[in-house]
Amino acid sequence: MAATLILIELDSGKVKRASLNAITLAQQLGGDYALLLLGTDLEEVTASLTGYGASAVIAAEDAALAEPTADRYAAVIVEALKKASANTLLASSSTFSKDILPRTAALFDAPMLTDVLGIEGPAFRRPINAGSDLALVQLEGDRRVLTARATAFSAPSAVAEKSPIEKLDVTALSLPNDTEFISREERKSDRPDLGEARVVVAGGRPLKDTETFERLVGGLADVLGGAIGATRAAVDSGMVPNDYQIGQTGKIIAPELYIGLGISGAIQHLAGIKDSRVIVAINKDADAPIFQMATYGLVGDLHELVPQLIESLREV
Amino acid sequence: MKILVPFKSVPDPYAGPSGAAKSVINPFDEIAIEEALRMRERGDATEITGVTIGVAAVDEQIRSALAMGVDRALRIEDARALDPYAIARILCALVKKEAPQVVMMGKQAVDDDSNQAGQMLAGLLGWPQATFVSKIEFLEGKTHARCTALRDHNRPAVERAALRLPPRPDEGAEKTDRSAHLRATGRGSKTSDHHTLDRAAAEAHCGHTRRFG
Repeated sequence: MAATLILIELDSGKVKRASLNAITLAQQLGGDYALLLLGTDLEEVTASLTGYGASAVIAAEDAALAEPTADRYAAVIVEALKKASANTLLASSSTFSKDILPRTAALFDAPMLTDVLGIEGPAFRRPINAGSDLALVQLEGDRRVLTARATAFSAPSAVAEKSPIEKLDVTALSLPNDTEFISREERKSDRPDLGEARVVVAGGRPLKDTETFERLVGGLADVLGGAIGATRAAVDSGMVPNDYQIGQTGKIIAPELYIGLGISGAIQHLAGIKDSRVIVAINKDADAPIFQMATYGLVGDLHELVPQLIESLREV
Repeated sequence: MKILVPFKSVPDPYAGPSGAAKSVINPFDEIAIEEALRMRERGDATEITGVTIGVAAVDEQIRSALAMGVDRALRIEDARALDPYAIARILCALVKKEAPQVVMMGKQAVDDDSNQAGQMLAGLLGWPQATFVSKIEFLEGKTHARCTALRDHNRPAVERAALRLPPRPDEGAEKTDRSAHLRATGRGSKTSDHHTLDRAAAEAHCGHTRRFG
């Protein structure tokens, strides 16, 4: 029996560390909490989680759960919630939890909040409008599903007392069979991390699509051994994933060299690059605000200039 | 194959600080509409229906969707501030009525950034789902959709999965059903139907109301 159930995320059979931070939110909510793991070959990983003060570490082990397909996982999690008589379901925010938890919330008939940053009395604080505003939201009813923004909660500390391990038998459940997992390929990226790179090349909306973005922004970054970044407009238009967003609501960076391609310089993007040592901007609009902050500026069409720049840097 | 594309009306995220916050189609939903249009161009989709929920003011976004090229656009009249679960329940009732084979939505609305309604809808319908999708291909015979998505594991990974599509309703029955509920539509005669969905029916189909402020 536990008030709260926490879904722990696995990556290649290992615990994703950030997913443990939801335990800290559970501790702040108060009451007992149990950890839940789904997958195959869980014995070792389950045993590694017995030191976090949980009332139980529950393992749902079945060949049908080898891949995290939302339809099957949600069905099993609802079963676990019922068995544990839990009314709260938590996980750290990730593509994994954002895929599975809303579906689980609908099956569990519970309201849900994404990206919770903290608790304020009976309400929860969470970002809206791409993080430019914070909302305080209160939930009605006794059930709730929350994902916690991992960076807003510290990693849980270990305790001496060991949690008991429980098995959740799913063989009797009739699991959905409408999703067939095909493949997973890790993105082979030799590029440095955006937050730590000495050189960052960033692109804006004029890059148009993923291919052009990769060719121009990626191409220039590769000849300079740099990382790639993007504006919110580029992220919103689906050219690049969220992780690449620089700015107030994305990553704040301070490389030695920042090159902005087709970036006009919205205040929120400039807030994320202003500590860069050298700022280079290429934009066809000479009045673009980024030129006021830039160390070097080049006015012209990036689709013509950037391939030339990549070519000449290759020759150097 | 019929595709339903629900879209949300949001304050323009690109409006400058001085600009009046006019409403636009949520940019992520716009991507879903564009992808649906490409499916129709390729001959995979036969009819694209857009739908939004709100009061008469969102007719501006209904017109935008029609201008983009959807075959029909519906508005479900509702003046309440709805949370994703409420939206999913309303859409669930509409899907049962419209019987599309695919529902496509932006991954999240840029105002509340919840990223929930689509997954909740799939759960209520008992349909398979794919999120954060960057590519959709229909397999031979259009019984399955192969979806490609980027996932943020310790190292970002590209995942592919095949989703079984719901069966197509009997063509004849479908026609009767449509004429009973909607005015004449179809390509070339674009119409925006002000669609009043019986809320009690929506809730009977999809569970109980639960709201939060």
